[in-house]
Amino acid sequence: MPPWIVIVKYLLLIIALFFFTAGTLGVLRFPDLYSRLHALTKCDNLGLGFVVAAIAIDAADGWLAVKLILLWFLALASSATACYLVARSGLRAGRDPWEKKA
Amino acid sequence: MTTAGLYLATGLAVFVLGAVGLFWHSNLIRRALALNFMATGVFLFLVALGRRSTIPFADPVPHALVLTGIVVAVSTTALLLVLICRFHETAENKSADATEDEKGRTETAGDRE
Amino acid sequence: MNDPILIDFLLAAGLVLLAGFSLRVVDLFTGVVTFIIFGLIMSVAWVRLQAPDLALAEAAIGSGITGALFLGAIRRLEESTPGSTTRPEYYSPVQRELYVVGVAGMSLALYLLGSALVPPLLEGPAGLAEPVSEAVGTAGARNPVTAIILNMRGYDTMLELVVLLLAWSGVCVLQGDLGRTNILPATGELAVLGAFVRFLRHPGILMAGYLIWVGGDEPGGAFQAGAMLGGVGALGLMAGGPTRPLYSGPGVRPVLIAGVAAFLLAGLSSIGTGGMFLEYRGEHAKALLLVIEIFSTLSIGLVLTLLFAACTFAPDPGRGAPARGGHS
Repeated sequence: MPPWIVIVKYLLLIIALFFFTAGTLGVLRFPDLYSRLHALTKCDNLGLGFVVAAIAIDAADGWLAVKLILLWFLALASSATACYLVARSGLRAGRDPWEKKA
Repeated sequence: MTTAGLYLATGLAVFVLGAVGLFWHSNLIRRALALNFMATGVFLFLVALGRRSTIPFADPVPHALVLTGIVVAVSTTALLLVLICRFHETAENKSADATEDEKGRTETAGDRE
Repeated sequence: MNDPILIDFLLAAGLVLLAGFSLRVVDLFTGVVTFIIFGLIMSVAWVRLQAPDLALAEAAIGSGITGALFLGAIRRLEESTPGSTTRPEYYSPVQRELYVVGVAGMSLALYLLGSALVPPLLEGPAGLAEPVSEAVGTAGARNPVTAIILNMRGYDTMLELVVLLLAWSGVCVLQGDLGRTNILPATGELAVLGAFVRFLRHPGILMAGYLIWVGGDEPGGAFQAGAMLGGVGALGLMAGGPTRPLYSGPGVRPVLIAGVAAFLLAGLSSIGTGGMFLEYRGEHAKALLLVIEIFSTLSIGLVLTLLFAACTFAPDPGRGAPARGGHS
Protein backbone atom coordinates (compact mmCIF):
# COMPACT_ATOMS: atom_id res chain seq x y z
CA MET A 1 0.00 0.00 0.00
CA PRO A 2 1.48 3.37 -0.95
CA PRO A 3 2.19 5.54 2.09
CA TRP A 4 -0.02 8.40 0.95
CA ILE A 5 -3.11 6.21 1.39
CA VAL A 6 -2.20 5.65 5.02
CA ILE A 7 -1.72 9.37 5.53
CA VAL A 8 -5.06 10.21 3.88
CA LYS A 9 -6.78 7.48 5.93
CA TYR A 10 -5.53 8.85 9.23
CA LEU A 11 -6.35 12.40 8.14
CA LEU A 12 -9.95 11.34 7.41
CA LEU A 13 -10.16 9.54 10.76
CA ILE A 14 -8.93 12.65 12.57
CA ILE A 15 -11.57 14.78 10.81
CA ALA A 16 -14.19 12.18 11.80
CA LEU A 17 -13.02 12.30 15.41
CA PHE A 18 -13.38 16.08 15.35
CA PHE A 19 -17.02 15.84 14.26
CA PHE A 20 -17.78 13.10 16.79
CA THR A 21 -16.22 15.15 19.58
CA ALA A 22 -18.11 18.26 18.51
CA GLY A 23 -21.39 16.32 18.32
CA THR A 24 -20.88 14.71 21.74
CA LEU A 25 -19.97 18.05 23.31
CA GLY A 26 -23.13 19.49 21.82
CA VAL A 27 -25.30 16.72 23.24
CA LEU A 28 -23.79 17.28 26.67
CA ARG A 29 -23.78 21.06 26.72
CA PHE A 30 -26.65 22.36 24.55
CA PRO A 31 -29.66 23.69 26.42
CA ASP A 32 -32.66 21.95 24.82
CA LEU A 33 -33.81 18.86 22.93
CA TYR A 34 -33.78 20.47 19.50
CA SER A 35 -30.27 21.89 19.57
CA ARG A 36 -29.00 18.62 21.02
CA LEU A 37 -30.58 16.75 18.12
CA HIS A 38 -28.89 19.21 15.80
CA ALA A 39 -25.54 18.37 17.41
CA LEU A 40 -26.18 14.64 17.35
CA THR A 41 -26.86 14.51 13.62
CA LYS A 42 -23.36 15.96 13.06
CA CYS A 43 -21.91 12.67 14.36
CA ASP A 44 -24.11 10.53 12.14
CA ASN A 45 -23.83 12.55 8.97
CA LEU A 46 -20.29 13.89 8.92
CA GLY A 47 -18.38 11.81 11.47
CA LEU A 48 -19.68 8.50 10.19
CA GLY A 49 -19.20 9.70 6.61
CA PHE A 50 -15.52 10.38 7.22
CA VAL A 51 -15.05 7.05 9.02
CA VAL A 52 -16.66 5.29 6.04
CA ALA A 53 -14.44 7.23 3.63
CA ALA A 54 -11.34 6.29 5.65
CA ILE A 55 -12.20 2.58 5.60
CA ALA A 56 -13.35 2.67 1.97
CA ILE A 57 -10.07 4.00 0.52
CA ASP A 58 -8.31 1.23 2.44
CA ALA A 59 -10.78 -1.47 1.31
CA ALA A 60 -9.46 -4.66 -0.27
CA ASP A 61 -11.83 -4.48 -3.24
CA GLY A 62 -14.24 -2.03 -4.81
CA TRP A 63 -17.36 -3.91 -3.69
CA LEU A 64 -16.50 -3.50 -0.05
CA ALA A 65 -16.18 0.25 -0.62
CA VAL A 66 -19.57 0.32 -2.37
CA LYS A 67 -21.18 -1.61 0.51
CA LEU A 68 -19.69 0.80 3.04
CA ILE A 69 -21.02 3.82 1.19
CA LEU A 70 -24.48 2.20 0.91
CA LEU A 71 -24.31 1.65 4.66
CA TRP A 72 -23.63 5.32 5.18
CA PHE A 73 -26.65 6.28 3.07
CA LEU A 74 -28.86 3.94 5.12
CA ALA A 75 -27.53 5.47 8.35
CA LEU A 76 -28.23 8.95 6.94
CA ALA A 77 -31.82 8.07 6.07
CA SER A 78 -32.51 6.43 9.42
CA SER A 79 -30.91 9.20 11.47
CA ALA A 80 -32.88 11.84 9.58
CA THR A 81 -36.12 9.95 10.22
CA ALA A 82 -35.31 9.28 13.87
CA CYS A 83 -34.34 12.91 14.41
CA TYR A 84 -37.63 14.09 12.91
CA LEU A 85 -39.65 11.68 15.04
CA VAL A 86 -37.88 12.65 18.27
CA ALA A 87 -38.32 16.36 17.54
CA ARG A 88 -41.99 15.83 16.69
CA SER A 89 -42.74 13.93 19.87
CA GLY A 90 -40.85 16.60 21.80
CA LEU A 91 -43.05 19.30 20.31
CA ARG A 92 -46.16 17.24 21.05
CA ALA A 93 -45.10 16.77 24.64
CA GLY A 94 -45.01 20.56 24.90
CA ARG A 95 -41.28 21.19 25.08
CA ASP A 96 -40.63 24.72 23.92
CA PRO A 97 -37.47 25.52 22.01
CA TRP A 98 -34.88 27.30 24.13
CA GLU A 99 -34.55 31.04 23.75
CA LYS A 100 -31.82 33.28 25.00
CA LYS A 101 -33.01 35.19 28.02
CA ALA A 102 -33.05 38.91 27.41
CA MET B 1 -5.65 -10.59 34.06
CA THR B 2 -6.66 -12.01 30.71
CA THR B 3 -9.34 -10.72 28.34
CA ALA B 4 -11.42 -13.82 29.10
CA GLY B 5 -11.12 -13.15 32.84
CA LEU B 6 -12.21 -9.52 32.44
CA TYR B 7 -15.32 -10.48 30.46
CA LEU B 8 -16.09 -13.37 32.83
CA ALA B 9 -16.17 -10.86 35.69
CA THR B 10 -18.30 -8.45 33.64
CA GLY B 11 -20.79 -11.19 32.80
CA LEU B 12 -20.97 -12.12 36.47
CA ALA B 13 -21.56 -8.51 37.55
CA VAL B 14 -24.32 -7.98 34.98
CA PHE B 15 -25.94 -11.25 36.06
CA VAL B 16 -25.87 -10.21 39.73
CA LEU B 17 -27.34 -6.77 38.97
CA GLY B 18 -30.12 -8.45 37.01
CA ALA B 19 -30.77 -11.11 39.64
CA VAL B 20 -30.99 -8.64 42.52
CA GLY B 21 -33.12 -6.29 40.40
CA LEU B 22 -35.48 -9.17 39.63
CA PHE B 23 -36.32 -9.66 43.30
CA TRP B 24 -36.02 -6.07 44.40
CA HIS B 25 -38.40 -4.33 42.00
CA SER B 26 -42.15 -4.63 42.19
CA ASN B 27 -42.79 -3.17 38.73
CA LEU B 28 -43.32 -6.17 36.46
CA ILE B 29 -41.80 -4.57 33.34
CA ARG B 30 -38.69 -3.77 35.34
CA ARG B 31 -38.53 -7.41 36.34
CA ALA B 32 -38.69 -8.43 32.68
CA LEU B 33 -35.85 -5.98 32.00
CA ALA B 34 -33.86 -7.52 34.87
CA LEU B 35 -34.39 -11.01 33.41
CA ASN B 36 -32.94 -9.78 30.13
CA PHE B 37 -29.87 -8.45 31.90
CA MET B 38 -29.43 -11.80 33.67
CA ALA B 39 -29.60 -13.59 30.31
CA THR B 40 -27.01 -11.25 28.78
CA GLY B 41 -24.70 -11.82 31.77
CA VAL B 42 -24.90 -15.58 31.24
CA PHE B 43 -24.24 -15.19 27.50
CA LEU B 44 -21.18 -13.05 28.17
CA PHE B 45 -19.90 -15.61 30.68
CA LEU B 46 -20.34 -18.52 28.25
CA VAL B 47 -18.61 -16.82 25.33
CA ALA B 48 -15.75 -15.62 27.53
CA LEU B 49 -15.31 -19.24 28.68
CA GLY B 50 -14.99 -20.14 24.99
CA ARG B 51 -11.68 -18.25 24.80
CA ARG B 52 -9.68 -20.92 26.56
CA SER B 53 -5.91 -20.88 26.57
CA THR B 54 -5.74 -24.36 25.06
CA ILE B 55 -7.27 -23.39 21.69
CA PRO B 56 -5.79 -20.70 19.47
CA PHE B 57 -9.15 -19.31 18.22
CA ALA B 58 -12.50 -18.44 19.74
CA ASP B 59 -14.59 -21.58 20.33
CA PRO B 60 -17.56 -21.48 17.91
CA VAL B 61 -19.70 -23.89 19.98
CA PRO B 62 -20.69 -21.36 22.69
CA HIS B 63 -21.27 -18.81 19.91
CA ALA B 64 -23.91 -21.06 18.37
CA LEU B 65 -25.34 -21.78 21.81
CA VAL B 66 -25.62 -18.08 22.67
CA LEU B 67 -27.09 -17.18 19.26
CA THR B 68 -29.84 -19.69 20.02
CA GLY B 69 -30.16 -18.20 23.49
CA ILE B 70 -30.60 -14.64 22.20
CA VAL B 71 -33.51 -15.70 19.99
CA VAL B 72 -35.14 -17.74 22.77
CA ALA B 73 -34.72 -14.74 25.09
CA VAL B 74 -36.54 -12.41 22.71
CA SER B 75 -39.46 -14.81 22.28
CA THR B 76 -39.84 -15.38 26.02
CA THR B 77 -39.57 -11.62 26.61
CA ALA B 78 -42.39 -11.01 24.14
CA LEU B 79 -44.61 -13.62 25.81
CA LEU B 80 -43.76 -12.19 29.23
CA LEU B 81 -44.59 -8.63 28.15
CA VAL B 82 -47.95 -9.65 26.70
CA LEU B 83 -48.66 -11.54 29.92
CA ILE B 84 -47.78 -8.41 31.96
CA CYS B 85 -49.97 -6.21 29.75
CA ARG B 86 -52.92 -8.58 30.05
CA PHE B 87 -52.38 -8.77 33.81
CA HIS B 88 -52.64 -5.02 34.20
CA GLU B 89 -55.54 -4.79 31.77
CA THR B 90 -57.84 -7.20 33.57
CA ALA B 91 -60.60 -5.30 35.29
CA GLU B 92 -59.69 -6.16 38.89
CA ASN B 93 -56.04 -5.16 38.53
CA LYS B 94 -57.00 -2.02 36.68
CA SER B 95 -58.88 -0.74 39.72
CA ALA B 96 -56.03 -1.86 42.00
CA ASP B 97 -53.58 0.10 39.83
CA ALA B 98 -55.79 3.16 40.06
CA THR B 99 -55.87 3.02 43.89
CA GLU B 100 -52.12 2.41 44.01
CA ASP B 101 -51.69 5.39 41.71
CA GLU B 102 -53.71 7.57 44.09
CA LYS B 103 -51.68 6.29 47.02
CA GLY B 104 -48.44 6.94 45.15
CA ARG B 105 -49.54 10.49 44.42
CA THR B 106 -50.39 11.26 48.01
CA GLU B 107 -47.06 9.76 49.07
CA THR B 108 -45.27 11.95 46.56
CA ALA B 109 -47.12 14.96 47.88
CA GLY B 110 -46.19 13.90 51.40
CA ASP B 111 -42.53 13.57 50.42
CA ARG B 112 -42.48 17.05 49.01
CA GLU B 113 -43.78 18.68 52.12
CA MET C 1 -4.13 -15.69 25.56
CA ASN C 2 -3.93 -11.98 24.98
CA ASP C 3 -4.13 -9.32 27.62
CA PRO C 4 -7.01 -6.87 27.71
CA ILE C 5 -6.42 -3.46 26.16
CA LEU C 6 -7.91 -0.13 27.20
CA ILE C 7 -11.11 -0.57 25.21
CA ASP C 8 -11.85 -3.85 27.02
CA PHE C 9 -11.78 -2.09 30.39
CA LEU C 10 -13.94 0.74 29.04
CA LEU C 11 -16.46 -1.75 27.64
CA ALA C 12 -16.56 -3.79 30.85
CA ALA C 13 -17.02 -0.72 33.03
CA GLY C 14 -19.63 0.70 30.64
CA LEU C 15 -21.64 -2.52 30.61
CA VAL C 16 -21.77 -2.80 34.39
CA LEU C 17 -22.61 0.89 34.89
CA LEU C 18 -25.33 0.85 32.21
CA ALA C 19 -26.89 -2.32 33.63
CA GLY C 20 -26.97 -0.80 37.12
CA PHE C 21 -28.33 2.53 35.87
CA SER C 22 -30.96 0.92 33.66
CA LEU C 23 -32.44 -1.03 36.58
CA ARG C 24 -32.23 1.73 39.18
CA VAL C 25 -33.30 4.84 37.24
CA VAL C 26 -36.68 6.21 38.33
CA ASP C 27 -38.15 6.66 34.85
CA LEU C 28 -38.87 3.30 33.23
CA PHE C 29 -38.65 4.74 29.71
CA THR C 30 -35.09 5.92 30.43
CA GLY C 31 -34.36 2.46 31.79
CA VAL C 32 -35.43 0.79 28.56
CA VAL C 33 -33.47 3.26 26.41
CA THR C 34 -30.43 2.53 28.59
CA PHE C 35 -31.03 -1.18 27.98
CA ILE C 36 -30.90 -0.51 24.22
CA ILE C 37 -27.61 1.39 24.61
CA PHE C 38 -26.33 -1.50 26.75
CA GLY C 39 -27.13 -3.86 23.87
CA LEU C 40 -25.20 -1.73 21.39
CA ILE C 41 -22.14 -1.60 23.69
CA MET C 42 -22.59 -5.33 24.19
CA SER C 43 -22.30 -5.93 20.45
CA VAL C 44 -18.92 -4.14 20.47
CA ALA C 45 -17.93 -6.46 23.34
CA TRP C 46 -18.91 -9.46 21.17
CA VAL C 47 -16.57 -8.18 18.46
CA ARG C 48 -13.78 -7.95 21.04
CA LEU C 49 -14.51 -11.57 22.01
CA GLN C 50 -14.15 -12.58 18.33
CA ALA C 51 -17.86 -13.40 18.02
CA PRO C 52 -19.06 -11.28 15.06
CA ASP C 53 -22.14 -13.47 14.55
CA LEU C 54 -23.24 -12.57 18.05
CA ALA C 55 -22.45 -8.90 17.47
CA LEU C 56 -24.91 -8.85 14.56
CA ALA C 57 -27.54 -10.80 16.50
CA GLU C 58 -27.17 -8.65 19.62
CA ALA C 59 -27.50 -5.37 17.71
CA ALA C 60 -30.52 -6.60 15.72
CA ILE C 61 -32.36 -8.81 18.21
CA GLY C 62 -30.92 -8.33 21.70
CA SER C 63 -31.08 -4.56 21.66
CA GLY C 64 -33.18 -3.67 18.60
CA ILE C 65 -36.21 -5.97 18.65
CA THR C 66 -36.22 -6.50 22.43
CA GLY C 67 -36.01 -2.74 23.00
CA ALA C 68 -38.90 -2.18 20.59
CA LEU C 69 -40.95 -4.81 22.46
CA PHE C 70 -40.37 -3.04 25.78
CA LEU C 71 -41.13 0.43 24.41
CA GLY C 72 -44.25 -0.90 22.72
CA ALA C 73 -45.46 -2.54 25.95
CA ILE C 74 -44.81 0.63 28.00
CA ARG C 75 -46.73 2.75 25.52
CA ARG C 76 -49.60 0.30 25.51
CA LEU C 77 -49.81 0.17 29.31
CA GLU C 78 -49.62 3.96 29.58
CA GLU C 79 -52.71 4.14 27.39
CA SER C 80 -54.72 1.21 28.68
CA THR C 81 -53.93 1.39 32.42
CA PRO C 82 -52.50 4.77 33.40
CA GLY C 83 -50.43 4.47 36.51
CA SER C 84 -49.32 0.86 36.14
CA THR C 85 -45.92 1.56 34.61
CA THR C 86 -45.45 5.27 35.03
CA ARG C 87 -45.77 5.10 38.80
CA PRO C 88 -42.35 5.73 40.35
CA GLU C 89 -41.17 3.28 42.97
CA TYR C 90 -40.44 4.31 46.53
CA TYR C 91 -38.05 2.46 48.78
CA SER C 92 -37.38 2.76 52.45
CA PRO C 93 -33.76 3.16 53.65
CA VAL C 94 -33.87 -0.46 54.84
CA GLN C 95 -34.78 -1.60 51.35
CA ARG C 96 -31.99 0.46 49.84
CA GLU C 97 -29.50 -1.15 52.20
CA LEU C 98 -30.91 -4.58 51.39
CA TYR C 99 -30.23 -3.86 47.73
CA VAL C 100 -26.57 -3.07 48.36
CA VAL C 101 -26.24 -6.10 50.64
CA GLY C 102 -27.87 -8.28 47.99
CA VAL C 103 -25.59 -7.11 45.18
CA ALA C 104 -22.46 -7.37 47.33
CA GLY C 105 -23.37 -10.74 48.80
CA MET C 106 -24.29 -12.35 45.53
CA SER C 107 -21.20 -10.95 43.80
CA LEU C 108 -18.99 -12.33 46.56
CA ALA C 109 -20.66 -15.75 46.55
CA LEU C 110 -20.47 -16.07 42.77
CA TYR C 111 -16.90 -14.78 42.75
CA LEU C 112 -15.80 -17.40 45.27
CA LEU C 113 -17.65 -20.13 43.38
CA GLY C 114 -16.25 -18.90 40.07
CA SER C 115 -12.66 -18.61 41.26
CA ALA C 116 -12.81 -22.27 42.26
CA LEU C 117 -14.56 -23.51 39.12
CA VAL C 118 -13.45 -21.25 36.28
CA PRO C 119 -9.61 -21.43 36.12
CA PRO C 120 -9.57 -25.19 35.44
CA LEU C 121 -12.19 -24.59 32.72
CA LEU C 122 -10.14 -21.83 31.10
CA GLU C 123 -7.11 -24.10 30.90
CA GLY C 124 -9.15 -27.22 30.33
CA PRO C 125 -9.44 -29.41 27.25
CA ALA C 126 -10.26 -27.84 23.92
CA GLY C 127 -13.73 -29.37 23.96
CA LEU C 128 -15.50 -29.52 20.64
CA ALA C 129 -13.62 -26.67 18.97
CA GLU C 130 -11.15 -28.97 17.20
CA PRO C 131 -13.68 -31.52 15.85
CA VAL C 132 -15.87 -28.65 14.64
CA SER C 133 -13.03 -26.97 12.76
CA GLU C 134 -12.18 -30.32 11.13
CA ALA C 135 -15.78 -31.10 10.15
CA VAL C 136 -16.58 -27.62 8.79
CA GLY C 137 -15.14 -28.55 5.37
CA THR C 138 -17.87 -31.12 4.69
CA ALA C 139 -20.73 -29.39 6.50
CA GLY C 140 -21.84 -27.11 3.67
CA ALA C 141 -20.86 -23.87 5.42
CA ARG C 142 -17.40 -22.50 6.06
CA ASN C 143 -18.61 -20.27 8.89
CA PRO C 144 -18.35 -22.68 11.86
CA VAL C 145 -21.25 -21.01 13.72
CA THR C 146 -23.59 -21.50 10.75
CA ALA C 147 -22.34 -25.08 10.34
CA ILE C 148 -23.08 -25.85 14.00
CA ILE C 149 -26.47 -24.15 13.99
CA LEU C 150 -27.85 -25.65 10.79
CA ASN C 151 -26.00 -28.90 10.39
CA MET C 152 -24.27 -30.31 13.46
CA ARG C 153 -26.96 -29.19 15.89
CA GLY C 154 -29.87 -29.01 13.48
CA TYR C 155 -32.19 -30.45 16.12
CA ASP C 156 -31.62 -27.49 18.43
CA THR C 157 -32.29 -24.95 15.73
CA MET C 158 -35.40 -26.69 14.44
CA LEU C 159 -36.79 -26.86 17.95
CA GLU C 160 -35.83 -23.24 18.47
CA LEU C 161 -38.13 -22.32 15.60
CA VAL C 162 -40.75 -24.37 17.44
CA VAL C 163 -40.05 -22.27 20.56
CA LEU C 164 -40.77 -19.12 18.51
CA LEU C 165 -44.06 -20.67 17.33
CA LEU C 166 -44.88 -21.65 20.93
CA ALA C 167 -44.29 -18.09 22.09
CA TRP C 168 -46.63 -16.88 19.37
CA SER C 169 -49.27 -19.48 20.33
CA GLY C 170 -48.99 -18.36 23.93
CA VAL C 171 -49.51 -14.76 22.85
CA CYS C 172 -52.58 -15.83 20.82
CA VAL C 173 -54.05 -17.57 23.87
CA LEU C 174 -53.48 -14.48 26.02
CA GLN C 175 -54.56 -11.89 23.58
CA GLY C 176 -56.78 -13.47 20.95
CA ASP C 177 -56.64 -10.43 18.73
CA LEU C 178 -54.10 -7.85 17.68
CA GLY C 179 -56.48 -5.00 18.19
CA ARG C 180 -56.65 -1.69 16.49
CA THR C 181 -54.72 -0.93 13.42
CA ASN C 182 -52.17 1.64 14.39
CA ILE C 183 -50.18 3.04 17.22
CA LEU C 184 -50.14 6.64 16.01
CA PRO C 185 -52.80 8.44 14.02
CA ALA C 186 -51.89 8.09 10.34
CA THR C 187 -51.98 11.81 9.72
CA GLY C 188 -49.72 13.80 7.46
CA GLU C 189 -47.15 14.06 10.23
CA LEU C 190 -46.47 10.36 10.00
CA ALA C 191 -45.69 10.66 6.31
CA VAL C 192 -41.96 10.91 7.02
CA LEU C 193 -41.88 7.56 8.83
CA GLY C 194 -44.08 6.04 6.12
CA ALA C 195 -41.74 7.29 3.40
CA PHE C 196 -38.77 5.93 5.33
CA VAL C 197 -40.41 2.50 5.58
CA ARG C 198 -41.23 2.54 1.86
CA PHE C 199 -37.62 3.49 1.17
CA LEU C 200 -36.27 0.84 3.54
CA ARG C 201 -38.47 -2.04 2.34
CA HIS C 202 -36.43 -3.09 -0.65
CA PRO C 203 -32.93 -2.53 0.75
CA GLY C 204 -34.14 -4.36 3.88
CA ILE C 205 -35.23 -7.43 1.94
CA LEU C 206 -32.03 -7.24 -0.11
CA MET C 207 -29.94 -7.07 3.07
CA ALA C 208 -31.78 -10.05 4.56
CA GLY C 209 -30.99 -12.04 1.42
CA TYR C 210 -27.38 -10.90 1.57
CA LEU C 211 -27.09 -11.94 5.22
CA ILE C 212 -28.40 -15.41 4.37
CA TRP C 213 -26.02 -15.73 1.43
CA VAL C 214 -22.83 -14.64 3.22
CA GLY C 215 -23.87 -16.52 6.38
CA GLY C 216 -22.38 -19.68 4.90
CA ASP C 217 -18.86 -18.29 4.86
CA GLU C 218 -18.86 -15.17 6.98
CA PRO C 219 -20.80 -13.77 9.94
CA GLY C 220 -24.53 -13.72 9.24
CA GLY C 221 -27.32 -16.22 8.75
CA ALA C 222 -31.01 -16.89 9.16
CA PHE C 223 -31.45 -15.30 12.60
CA GLN C 224 -29.77 -12.03 11.70
CA ALA C 225 -31.65 -11.92 8.39
CA GLY C 226 -34.94 -12.75 10.12
CA ALA C 227 -34.34 -9.96 12.62
CA MET C 228 -33.80 -7.59 9.67
CA LEU C 229 -37.19 -8.56 8.22
CA GLY C 230 -38.78 -8.32 11.67
CA GLY C 231 -37.36 -4.82 12.08
CA VAL C 232 -38.77 -3.67 8.76
CA GLY C 233 -42.13 -5.22 9.70
CA ALA C 234 -42.17 -3.50 13.10
CA LEU C 235 -41.34 -0.14 11.49
CA GLY C 236 -44.18 -0.67 9.03
CA LEU C 237 -46.56 -1.24 11.93
CA MET C 238 -45.29 1.90 13.67
CA ALA C 239 -45.92 3.88 10.50
CA GLY C 240 -49.57 2.92 10.70
CA GLY C 241 -49.52 -0.35 8.79
CA PRO C 242 -52.58 -2.51 9.43
CA THR C 243 -52.24 -5.42 11.84
CA ARG C 244 -55.38 -7.29 10.90
CA PRO C 245 -54.03 -8.89 7.67
CA LEU C 246 -50.90 -9.86 9.59
CA TYR C 247 -53.00 -11.70 12.11
CA SER C 248 -55.54 -13.44 9.94
CA GLY C 249 -54.28 -13.07 6.38
CA PRO C 250 -54.34 -16.18 4.19
CA GLY C 251 -50.56 -16.52 3.82
CA VAL C 252 -49.72 -16.11 7.48
CA ARG C 253 -49.90 -19.67 8.74
CA PRO C 254 -47.94 -21.24 5.85
CA VAL C 255 -45.13 -18.69 6.37
CA LEU C 256 -45.21 -19.29 10.15
CA ILE C 257 -44.49 -23.00 9.75
CA ALA C 258 -42.24 -22.64 6.66
CA GLY C 259 -39.02 -22.80 8.68
CA VAL C 260 -39.92 -25.94 10.63
CA ALA C 261 -41.34 -27.53 7.47
CA ALA C 262 -38.13 -26.83 5.53
CA PHE C 263 -36.09 -28.36 8.35
CA LEU C 264 -38.27 -31.49 8.42
CA LEU C 265 -38.29 -31.96 4.65
CA ALA C 266 -34.54 -31.42 4.33
CA GLY C 267 -33.99 -33.79 7.27
CA LEU C 268 -36.13 -36.48 5.64
CA SER C 269 -34.34 -35.98 2.33
CA SER C 270 -31.03 -36.63 4.08
CA ILE C 271 -32.43 -39.95 5.30
CA GLY C 272 -33.37 -40.70 1.69
CA THR C 273 -29.78 -40.24 0.55
CA GLY C 274 -28.41 -42.62 3.18
CA GLY C 275 -27.57 -40.20 5.98
CA MET C 276 -29.23 -39.68 9.32
CA PHE C 277 -32.12 -37.32 10.06
CA LEU C 278 -30.95 -33.68 9.74
CA GLU C 279 -27.45 -34.78 8.70
CA TYR C 280 -26.18 -33.12 5.55
CA ARG C 281 -22.89 -34.00 3.93
CA GLY C 282 -21.20 -33.57 0.61
CA GLU C 283 -22.02 -31.39 -2.35
CA HIS C 284 -25.76 -30.98 -1.72
CA ALA C 285 -25.20 -29.74 1.82
CA LYS C 286 -24.75 -26.08 0.86
CA ALA C 287 -27.90 -26.00 -1.28
CA LEU C 288 -29.96 -27.72 1.44
CA LEU C 289 -28.71 -25.35 4.12
CA LEU C 290 -29.53 -22.38 1.89
CA VAL C 291 -33.12 -23.59 1.38
CA ILE C 292 -33.57 -24.15 5.12
CA GLU C 293 -32.17 -20.71 5.85
CA ILE C 294 -34.42 -18.91 3.37
CA PHE C 295 -37.60 -20.43 4.81
CA SER C 296 -36.42 -20.05 8.41
CA THR C 297 -35.70 -16.38 7.75
CA LEU C 298 -39.25 -15.82 6.51
CA SER C 299 -40.70 -17.56 9.59
CA ILE C 300 -38.45 -15.71 12.03
CA GLY C 301 -39.18 -12.34 10.40
CA LEU C 302 -42.94 -12.91 10.54
CA VAL C 303 -42.95 -14.19 14.14
CA LEU C 304 -40.85 -11.24 15.34
CA THR C 305 -43.19 -8.78 13.59
CA LEU C 306 -46.22 -10.49 15.11
CA LEU C 307 -44.66 -10.50 18.60
CA PHE C 308 -43.96 -6.77 18.29
CA ALA C 309 -47.55 -6.16 17.19
CA ALA C 310 -48.87 -8.20 20.12
CA CYS C 311 -46.79 -6.30 22.69
CA THR C 312 -47.71 -2.91 21.27
CA PHE C 313 -51.43 -3.11 20.48
CA ALA C 314 -54.03 -3.92 23.08
CA PRO C 315 -56.83 -6.12 21.78
CA ASP C 316 -59.96 -4.45 20.52
CA PRO C 317 -62.54 -4.67 23.30
CA GLY C 318 -65.26 -5.29 20.72
CA ARG C 319 -63.48 -8.01 18.81
CA GLY C 320 -62.97 -10.46 21.53
CA ALA C 321 -60.12 -10.74 23.89
CA PRO C 322 -60.52 -14.30 25.11
CA ALA C 323 -63.24 -14.67 27.70
CA ARG C 324 -61.86 -14.95 31.20
CA GLY C 325 -64.21 -17.32 33.05
CA GLY C 326 -67.63 -16.07 34.16
CA HIS C 327 -69.38 -12.91 33.15
CA SER C 328 -68.13 -10.53 35.79
